[in-house]
Amino acid sequence: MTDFSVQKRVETPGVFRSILYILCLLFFLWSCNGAELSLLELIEGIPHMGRVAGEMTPPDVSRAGFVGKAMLVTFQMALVGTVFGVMFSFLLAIPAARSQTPSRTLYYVSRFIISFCRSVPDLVWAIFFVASVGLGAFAGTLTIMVDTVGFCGRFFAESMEEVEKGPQEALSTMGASRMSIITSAVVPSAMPSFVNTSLFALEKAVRSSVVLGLVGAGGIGIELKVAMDLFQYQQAGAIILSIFLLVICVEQISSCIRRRIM
Amino acid sequence: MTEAVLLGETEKRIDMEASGDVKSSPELPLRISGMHKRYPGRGVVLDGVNLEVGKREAVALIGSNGSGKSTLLRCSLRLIEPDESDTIFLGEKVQTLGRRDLRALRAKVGFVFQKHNLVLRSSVLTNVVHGSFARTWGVKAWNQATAPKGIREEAMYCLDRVGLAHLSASRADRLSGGESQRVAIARALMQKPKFLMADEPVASLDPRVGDEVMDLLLGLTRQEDLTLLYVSHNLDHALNYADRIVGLSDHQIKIDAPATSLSKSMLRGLYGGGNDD
Ligand SMILES: Nc1ncnc2c1ncn2[C@@H]1O[C@H](COP(=O)(O)OP(=O)(O)OP(=O)(O)O)[C@@H](O)[C@H]1O
Ligand SMILES: [Mg+2]
Repeated sequence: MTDFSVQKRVETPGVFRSILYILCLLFFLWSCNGAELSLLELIEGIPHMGRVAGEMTPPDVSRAGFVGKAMLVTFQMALVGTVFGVMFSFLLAIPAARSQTPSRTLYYVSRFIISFCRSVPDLVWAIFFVASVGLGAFAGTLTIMVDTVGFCGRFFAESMEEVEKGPQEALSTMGASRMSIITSAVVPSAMPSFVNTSLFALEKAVRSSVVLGLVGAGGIGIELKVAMDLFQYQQAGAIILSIFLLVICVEQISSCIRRRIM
Repeated sequence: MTEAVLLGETEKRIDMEASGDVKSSPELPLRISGMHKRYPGRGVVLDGVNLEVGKREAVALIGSNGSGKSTLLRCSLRLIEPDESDTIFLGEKVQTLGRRDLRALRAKVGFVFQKHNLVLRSSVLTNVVHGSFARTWGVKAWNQATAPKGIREEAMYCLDRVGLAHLSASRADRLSGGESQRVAIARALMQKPKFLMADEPVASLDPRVGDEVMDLLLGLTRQEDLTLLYVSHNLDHALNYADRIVGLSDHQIKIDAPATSLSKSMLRGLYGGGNDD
């Protein structure tokens, strides 16, 4: 009979690993403390949450026109920022795609720009742009643009890398230039993925354009903050409701478009 | 019928060479001398290969898997860089060409792959328009929509030559294998090539469609006064659709003879163990 040993159900970790696990656990417990996690406050807070939510209803629709206008601006910021962001992303994605880049230096430079745009959070960008171009929707639009570059640039580059090589080889064998190969073989093949990513970027942009107002970068956010600060909960309720409607609408429309192009 | 055409054309070629062209030396579209190629890790694939292809000739290149047929075709256009080679292709010394001239040379050679390599999400017409990349500039060959009237009409004509004008508006991913390969041939015709190369053009097609595509390829070669060099694993194709058969084995050319002087059993020797013949 051949001798074979069945694997143990659970491997007993070695000393080094055990210490590592214990350290991780301790760090997590410490973090809970740092995060001021408190069951007591949560329980005490629940009635207040209910009260605030109750005071928001019924939402005050008397300023519907004003809120509607602010919502429109919010959406316009998101839309314009996304469109320009997508265009810049596309330009940056070409050198950032390993298979399309004209040089290694450009590859690293463009990858760095994209990573930098992505790793700085949008509110930080918004504060920076408010400080440099002033309060208002333009600062918000710039923020969304940069945020979109961070998001789309990476995915565009990856989808260009994944595109089938055969057609590109065929075109280059026919004497087509690098540029022609990108426009005629790479872009058409990567188009569904581009559109898909851009739609996600738009959804993301709508959500972030809502909060950018908090730091004065235009849009509905500032109205929400003012309403909350002045304890006008019914107005705040109306604003939150309209934010909810806008986000849902954009998500529905974009998933509808997505289904069509796939 | 094919064979009749074949013989007739072969005789014509020999006649032409005998009477001598305007130029003093007999002009060979392709002359490969001393081509060496080794892949790091794989070792030598081509070891001093010499191959001449005459004007209007149809040459079948055969040989077992991994014998270096694709490498030979690609090295002749420097799609893969040979280690050593003295190739004259359509009058150009290939090894000395710069980027631009190399592109200009490649543009004159229609290359059909085993896989059609069409841009699947683009229309058939757009794929054929791509064939004009080397002779247009700007956006003209990007897409059928951006192509000028003349290019579009030419592309339709090329599609008509392969019998697919009625499919011009379909997307390339809706085509059958045979249709796709025909579109790839139309795209190659759009290059206004002087030379056609094909690497196992019908290997993924069923026997009937495969014959049809070979008929088309050879027919167009004859009608357009082109020269054809293609790779095939189908010995019937090699015998029926070529003036000359070249067999690659042990890194060198072991067979080089008119198709009419060869038989299937003689060609089989190329694949067996001992093929010193
Ligand atoms: N890029 C490469 N790097 C390393 N080895 C390669 C490369 N391309 C081809 N080879 C090897 O070189 C040899 C010849 O390949 P090639 O594709 O030219 O053969 P082939 O005659 O076309 O074969 P097939 O009939 O299977 O198409 C093969 O053994 C292959 O593994
Ligand atoms: Mg091959």
